[in-house]
Amino acid sequence: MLSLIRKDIKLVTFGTYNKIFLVVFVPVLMAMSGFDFTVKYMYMAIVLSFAYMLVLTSFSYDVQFKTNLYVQSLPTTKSEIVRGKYVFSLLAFLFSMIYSSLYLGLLNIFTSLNFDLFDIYTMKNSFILFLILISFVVPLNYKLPPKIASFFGVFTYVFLINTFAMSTTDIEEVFNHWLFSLYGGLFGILIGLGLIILSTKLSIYLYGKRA
Amino acid sequence: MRILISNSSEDPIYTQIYNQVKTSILKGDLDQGEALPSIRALAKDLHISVITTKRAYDELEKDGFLETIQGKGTFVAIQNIELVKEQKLKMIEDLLNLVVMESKSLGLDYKEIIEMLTILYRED
Amino acid sequence: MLEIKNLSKKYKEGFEIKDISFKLDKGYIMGFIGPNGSGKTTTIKLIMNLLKKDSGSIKVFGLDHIQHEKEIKDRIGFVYDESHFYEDMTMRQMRSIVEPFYSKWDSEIFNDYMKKFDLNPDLKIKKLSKGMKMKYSLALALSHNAELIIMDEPTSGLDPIFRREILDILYSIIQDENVSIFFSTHITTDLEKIADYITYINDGSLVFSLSKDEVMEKYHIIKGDPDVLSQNLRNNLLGIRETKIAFEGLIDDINSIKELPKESIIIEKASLEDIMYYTKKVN
Repeated sequence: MLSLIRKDIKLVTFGTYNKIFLVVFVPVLMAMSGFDFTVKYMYMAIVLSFAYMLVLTSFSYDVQFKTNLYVQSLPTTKSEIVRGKYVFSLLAFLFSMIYSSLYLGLLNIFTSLNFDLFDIYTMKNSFILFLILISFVVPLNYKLPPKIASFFGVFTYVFLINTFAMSTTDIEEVFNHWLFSLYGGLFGILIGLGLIILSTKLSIYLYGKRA
Repeated sequence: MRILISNSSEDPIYTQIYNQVKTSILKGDLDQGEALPSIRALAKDLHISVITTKRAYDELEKDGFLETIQGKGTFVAIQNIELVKEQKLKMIEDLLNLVVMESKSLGLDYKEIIEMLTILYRED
Repeated sequence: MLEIKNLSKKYKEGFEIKDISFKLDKGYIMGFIGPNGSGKTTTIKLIMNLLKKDSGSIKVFGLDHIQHEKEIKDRIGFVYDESHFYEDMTMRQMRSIVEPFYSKWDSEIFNDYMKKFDLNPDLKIKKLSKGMKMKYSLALALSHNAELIIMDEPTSGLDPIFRREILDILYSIIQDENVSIFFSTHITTDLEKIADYITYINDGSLVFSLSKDEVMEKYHIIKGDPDVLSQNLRNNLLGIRETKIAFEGLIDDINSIKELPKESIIIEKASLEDIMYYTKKVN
């Protein structure tokens, strides 16, 4: 499975465009939000977006170049390919968290702004959201024709961003829901991971049925 | 060792190989104990199937012309060549005897036999 | 090395392959022929588990191809007709993705092949011609000490010089008697030279799987005057092409026409193309 994950990492990092994207995505979003993180939700949205974009990119190359057949011919199984995707997604989130914190750190150093770098509240909420998002979107990729799946992927993302543009109080209510707050969020994470497991099984089933 | 395969010949390829190797051995182009190319190398050089070369080599081995030493390769068999040569010489001698007898009974003399032989030899 | 038994698969759209059985021992080259749409690609995809079979068994290296899928694929070099790579990548980058998957990858062999094929590893794959892409696929497939090379139409779309080069490479590989090659093609002239065995599939069913010598000895082309074409002869022929001037037909049992006068007919060796052409007509 390691080879599969390395492949996905290479996919999102090779070439000039990808490298530029990696460097620029987070700061640009931060700038667009006016560095106003007192609300925390913008930051959550950024961490989520970046991780999600990495996942979508890794799917998009296989769609664009129809490489699925080739990857399947390598020493791996469909089941392993699917599981590799989920593991990659989790790694992408981890990376996004650390990476965004790094930028915040830079802002702390070079400006008068003072951000809390490891805010548990933000981390756990965005993680739970990410788990739910991935559980929903990845199986779509294995069920729908590639272009439609891509569309849904982007659509979900836009929907999310709009959600974060809601008023503060509305968002706070969302995160006060037991899903996010029970046992300090641990409950939500467990549910999220459970969803991931179910989603993995579903994706493996769907991929297996595909030709 | 030189082998030329003709795709348009009547003979199947393995027969062509068989004949050409046998001739090379009998004529002395291939020495006793000399190594032959492996069946795979031969197949590659002639651009044919390894099954074909194997078949030719097997037949040659069966008839005593070649012998295969496990792990070392295929070689021109040592003893039997002389035997085959002797057999062939005997056959030629017998045939010549027949020619001589028939010619004598027809009243041909030595010079006429030689003439005929020369013409026939040159024809080939 | 490769053993297929009663393999069947039916597509939703109706096309199916039925009861395919054949085997390939190590050290030999098997050519897989059949007209377009006869099921060659389907069979190959089934062996590689790119498609799910309905019934039958496939064993590679004596192992079940699904239970030991990873292990088997580690030892197979696979060259697919439309090798789909990440076109925006360079050959070097693509290779760095492929390499970790294989336990017996050999960089030296790979670099040798790249040199031999005159491929610059820093070229982007989308810039390669079809022939170069095929060479690159081959380089990848031959660089991890594979014991079975499976290729689907590796020479189609390539110029004849190129095809010869590839055949020469195959000849070199098969010098190692632990390696086998299985490739599908409809360029039968390639096979008439190099193949040890021929498996012929038509319309989803197996026609024969024999050594090439057996095939060439079995099938013949009969040509002659239309008058000679008795009903008896007609029944013995597998396929006929008739004109007012002459007829031409394929026969698989040369003994059945022994009674015919030798002067009235011409008997020739049948090429693989002839065999395919005439047997297709019957169906």
